[in-house]
Amino acid sequence: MTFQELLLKHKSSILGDWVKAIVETYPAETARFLRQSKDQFANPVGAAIKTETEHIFDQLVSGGAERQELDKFLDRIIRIRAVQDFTPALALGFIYDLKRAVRRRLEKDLKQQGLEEELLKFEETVDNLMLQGFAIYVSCREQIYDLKAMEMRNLYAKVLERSGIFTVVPDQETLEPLSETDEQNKA
Amino acid sequence: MANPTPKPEQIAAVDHKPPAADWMDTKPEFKPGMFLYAVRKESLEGVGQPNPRDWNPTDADWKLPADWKGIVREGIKERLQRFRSFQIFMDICVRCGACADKCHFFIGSGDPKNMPVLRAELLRSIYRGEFKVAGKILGKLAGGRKLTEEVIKEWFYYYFQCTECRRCSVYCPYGIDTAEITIMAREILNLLGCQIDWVGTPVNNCFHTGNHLGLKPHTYKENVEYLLDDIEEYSGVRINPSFNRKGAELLFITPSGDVFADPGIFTFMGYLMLFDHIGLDYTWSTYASEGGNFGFFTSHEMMKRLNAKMYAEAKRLGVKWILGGECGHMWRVITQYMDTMNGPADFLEVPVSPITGTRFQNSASTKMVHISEFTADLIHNNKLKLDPSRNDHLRVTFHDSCNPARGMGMLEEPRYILNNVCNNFFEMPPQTIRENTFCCGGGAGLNAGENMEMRFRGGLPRMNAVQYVKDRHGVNMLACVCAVDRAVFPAHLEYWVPGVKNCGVTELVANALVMDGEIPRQYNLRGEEVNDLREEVDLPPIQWPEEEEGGEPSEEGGE
Ligand code: SF4
Ligand code: SF4
Repeated sequence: MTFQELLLKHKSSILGDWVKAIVETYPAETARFLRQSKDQFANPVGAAIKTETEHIFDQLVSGGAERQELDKFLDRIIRIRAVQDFTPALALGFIYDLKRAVRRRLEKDLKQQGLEEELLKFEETVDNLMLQGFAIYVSCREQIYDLKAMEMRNLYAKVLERSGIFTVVPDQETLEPLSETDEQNKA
Repeated sequence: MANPTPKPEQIAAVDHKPPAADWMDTKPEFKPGMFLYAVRKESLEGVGQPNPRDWNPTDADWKLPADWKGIVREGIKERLQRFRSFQIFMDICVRCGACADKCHFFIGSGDPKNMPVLRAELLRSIYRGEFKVAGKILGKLAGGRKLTEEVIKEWFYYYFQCTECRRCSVYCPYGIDTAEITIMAREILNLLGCQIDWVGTPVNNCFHTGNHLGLKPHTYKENVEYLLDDIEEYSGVRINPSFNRKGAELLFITPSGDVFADPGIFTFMGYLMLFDHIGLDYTWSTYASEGGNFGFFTSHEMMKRLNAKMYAEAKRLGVKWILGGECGHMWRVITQYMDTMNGPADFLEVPVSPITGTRFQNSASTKMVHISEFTADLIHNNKLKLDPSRNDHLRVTFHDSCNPARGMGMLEEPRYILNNVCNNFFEMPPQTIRENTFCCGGGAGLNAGENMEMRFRGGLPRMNAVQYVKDRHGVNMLACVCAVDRAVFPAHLEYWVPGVKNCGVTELVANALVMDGEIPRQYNLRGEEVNDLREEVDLPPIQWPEEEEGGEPSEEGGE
């Protein structure tokens, strides 16, 4: 059996372990809810964890993992964790939990079949996944700060602009040479 | 406040599992983004609220008044006597858990104390520990605990993380309304001067100048005039509404946010166009210039004081009745409280539409009609010239705002309107709309900027349902009839469902209105070129007549 075949054979138990590990980063009462409630609208967080871990797993197993696709799946989990009560480490730690799940379920078989090398390669892929996740997490946090600024602008910019207190700077590309812009602002 | 970078050994020791602890033993941590700023002193002083002071939720010492325990005990006792519902809600919860997973803040945050049953327990445990014999003796075993400063901090954290949306109450077999428990808890916190600024300052502004932002009459009027210029630019129609005009048939009141904040201003422009279209005899008031009532998030007394000004102004101007704009909690106040608080408004007449002759019997006592009821009746009686194809570039869904839906039972009217002013309307899944609707995450004074992460958690379930109709039907516009929603959704949508915008229902009405004397409507009320919008959704461009003038709006109009 190849490494890929082994992964596929143990897919449900690996995913089960992985989901369990993610869900258990929440307090016990919440973990129970995240696991049990099946309605994707009543339990969007649980549904995202369940669906996207499977998507990620399938991509990795398929061999030709598409970075963009992985970004999309990771984003759906990380976007949520980026606003929840987690430190950055805890928000992203779930990615490494995939390593633990695979090792736990496959270690014996891999040893028997001399496929440890493959496991290391797989773990490297997960390390890369973590880097991808890190970029997503940071972009989510940055977006929150941008949105705070946008909201302020939506709230007050029109009033301030009309009263002349505030001038909207045109997009960078449309900026005229400095002297002309100054003239326009004065006008 | 920057957190120190953890040391390698600390990182290695990271345990992915949170510690198993009883809820009574876990304390909230006031982290940036997760809590609301304390009210400024002047705002409490301005309306004579107790214990104004400078303080900060992240301080160890909240500078509570010396006899704070007595104040809280008395506050609870007085309310148990005054409000039968409060006493019942304190006593009858069987902790069945039916409400536990129904709160958008619990669903989005995963914090168990956002389960409505636990949110209520924060106060109920004190009720048991301080008022019930068993709780006093057995303490924790009987679900009771003692009143400490930590409890007050916890209340502040969690009762300002409830939008009083009442979704949980829909699922409680006993009809326990956790929103009412939150209302009581906030009243008690207010006795200690523990208010949030996003509520306390608008209350003070509203009391003194008539609206939340404290816009003076001339500023309010100027802002409306800017919108009138925009309307003329995009539709070619010049409208001249009246302000503070005695003897007008109707007074129109709407949340002030819509007069200056994007995208509420487009709904505001919609009102102006609609009323002009039907030739309504109405006036704006620059004194009762706020439909919202943040007093509702403070205390019953404050709600009453702020609500009274609308009726006082109606009386002063001698109008027959009041027409109200798209707002959320304003309608809960009107429908559920106004009548026994400041009513009945006998000096006004039972509302009859001057255009259709329809008598609004549902408002016979409050004398106040919702703009959606009014508009739906106009459409039903064929009084509007509408071209819904003008909204063809939009694929619209409708968010039931908690208060109009669960607080006043208005479910059909906005849908009826939308189905008449646009051709592509799609419902979100049934468990997320109508009486089951998910809150926007920013109601009850939580739509501040400093708590954005908290808000995003609360908004997640609603946004998740929007994502679904976006994926399924290509929805690109989320309509609603609430000014808070309108202010909250842009950021929520950007974060959770980019590509979807939000608007008020009346904005879409106005875009579809065929106005007398209009120019070709090449631009919508946002100043966006209709053909650009059509191109985005692969619709063929509209051929505009060449010789018409006035089609080119100036730079500053819209984005
Ligand atoms: S549903 Fe009602 S009775 Fe059951 S736990 Fe919630 S509040 Fe208590
Ligand atoms: S009223 Fe709304 S926000 Fe408050 S506990 Fe109930 S569901 Fe949650």
